[in-house]
Amino acid sequence: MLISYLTSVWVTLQLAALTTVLLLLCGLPLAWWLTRTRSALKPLLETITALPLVLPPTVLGFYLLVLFGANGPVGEWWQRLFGHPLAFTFSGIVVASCIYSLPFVVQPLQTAFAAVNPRTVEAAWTLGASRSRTFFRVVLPQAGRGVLVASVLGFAHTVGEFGVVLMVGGNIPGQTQVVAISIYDMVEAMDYASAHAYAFALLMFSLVVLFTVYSIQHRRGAGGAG
Amino acid sequence: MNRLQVRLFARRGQFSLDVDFTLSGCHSVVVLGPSGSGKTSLLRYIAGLDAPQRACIVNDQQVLCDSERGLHLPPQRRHIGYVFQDYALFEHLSVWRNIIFGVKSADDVAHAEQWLQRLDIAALRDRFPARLSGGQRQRVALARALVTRPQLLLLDEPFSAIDPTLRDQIRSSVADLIREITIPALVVSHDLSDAIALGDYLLVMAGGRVLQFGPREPVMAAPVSAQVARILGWRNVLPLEIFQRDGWSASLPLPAGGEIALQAHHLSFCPPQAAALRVWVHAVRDRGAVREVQCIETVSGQCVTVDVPWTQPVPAAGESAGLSLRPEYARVYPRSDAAAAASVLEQTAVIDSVANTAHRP
Repeated sequence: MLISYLTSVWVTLQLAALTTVLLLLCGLPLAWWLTRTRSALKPLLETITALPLVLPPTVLGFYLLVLFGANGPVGEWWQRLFGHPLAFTFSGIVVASCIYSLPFVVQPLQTAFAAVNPRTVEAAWTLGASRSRTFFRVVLPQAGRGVLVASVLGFAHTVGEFGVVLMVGGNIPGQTQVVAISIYDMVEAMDYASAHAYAFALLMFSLVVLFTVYSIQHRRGAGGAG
Repeated sequence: MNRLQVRLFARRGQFSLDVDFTLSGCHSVVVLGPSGSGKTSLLRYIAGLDAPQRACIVNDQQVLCDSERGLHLPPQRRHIGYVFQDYALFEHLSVWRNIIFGVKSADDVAHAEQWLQRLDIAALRDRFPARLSGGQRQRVALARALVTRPQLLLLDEPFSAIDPTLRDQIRSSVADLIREITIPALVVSHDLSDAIALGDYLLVMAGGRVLQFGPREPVMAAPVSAQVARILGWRNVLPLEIFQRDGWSASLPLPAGGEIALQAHHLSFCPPQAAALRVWVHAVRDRGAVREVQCIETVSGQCVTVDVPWTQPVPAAGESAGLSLRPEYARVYPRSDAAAAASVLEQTAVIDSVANTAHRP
């Protein structure tokens, strides 16, 4: 039982780490664009980004399963490109997690970017800095704590996933079985003692993560952007 | 000789900016106008931070923007030093890191060292901006802009974040600096003291239009319209009708309507019978070197302000008095401001005759 639990912990950590990295890669430019743009597309993109916050995980999971399935448009394309299906695989739950945790990364980033003094960005331009140099040397350092909060929230939210992962990945030990699903299995098997131990571990993890996030935000409030 | 040519039109919502001026030589221009007149927008368009609908901006033979040719250089390639109103320092970088942000070569690093010394901020090099005073922040922002060897310097309200008690001192050191650098400088301000201290030229703006542009002294002495006179701090802009009543000036060939602008220090008290204007004194206030006397013109009820040196007597509040004016300094603007510039000399002559008539027994 312990081995299978540790396996699910390992799958969960891999999933959360990979999701966080991928989300930062997509979320940083997306959040920066959303902060700066005056495009008419902005509200639409903000709506789509925020959708996972309000959708029941089963609804999101269902549509992702349809898309990722062997006959779904994304699943078919994935199969052609990588030679294996997307649904019920680790890759599938990574992609699903990225979509599901997107608002938890993009929204804190957007808040952090909005707090960056836009004049500093323009000052960097007048000093000859390219847009990318300005982003990495002026914007990101000022939004550093926001990036940290976004990473922690993205990671923690992925660790706590259940519905979407179950719908898209099923319950395959070593591949798609994450901790939350393991606990569900234990409850189903009436093994309340184990379920309690693991649920308590997850509860503690969430507490620590949220405490960290609020501590970071509190320091930001007290110590300014620097 | 350096030549800065700015011709631009931009519209954003209800506001439009329509500016056309050419500056020959490396002079400083103070862009003066009330808030909302488009001063900061003008700097932003010149720096390439915003894109105007139509523009042709050329500085020292470098075309920065030419909408007819579809040319719009990004701010990175305009070689413009921009000092923002809030200085926009990089709070996460030390003073030295701020200053060398735009540096591209080892030669420029030595150049940065020179500016650090010149602006007297060498002792602050390892400090972070959060621990600097307003004046120190301004010097860091100036050094950061000048280190990149700009061809044009833009300063947006450079003294608004400075403690008022230090403003005069800092203003004169910035004035020295601007005269020292051999590039043109545009300084946006709504404060007349800045214009006097910093501007070789004045560009007076309101409502997105240039009302007057020229060397400082002639502009200060001869505003082309009543609106410019108000912006330039002429405190008495009065309706001409004041001189066309009571019989003493009814026969004068003044324009039928319009305004007359009089500087507060060009008016002086005289006995009521010899006065051009009859007033009663409303209030007397100490204003440093002078006393400011607020008067009410007896017939029209218009408020007239007079600055009186401490050496001269001042009537007490509530007393009646006469006010004589110095016609050579008065400006008359017929109803249409547009006609004013052309007829300035003629109007001065008219004022002469107003004064002469007024002093007749």
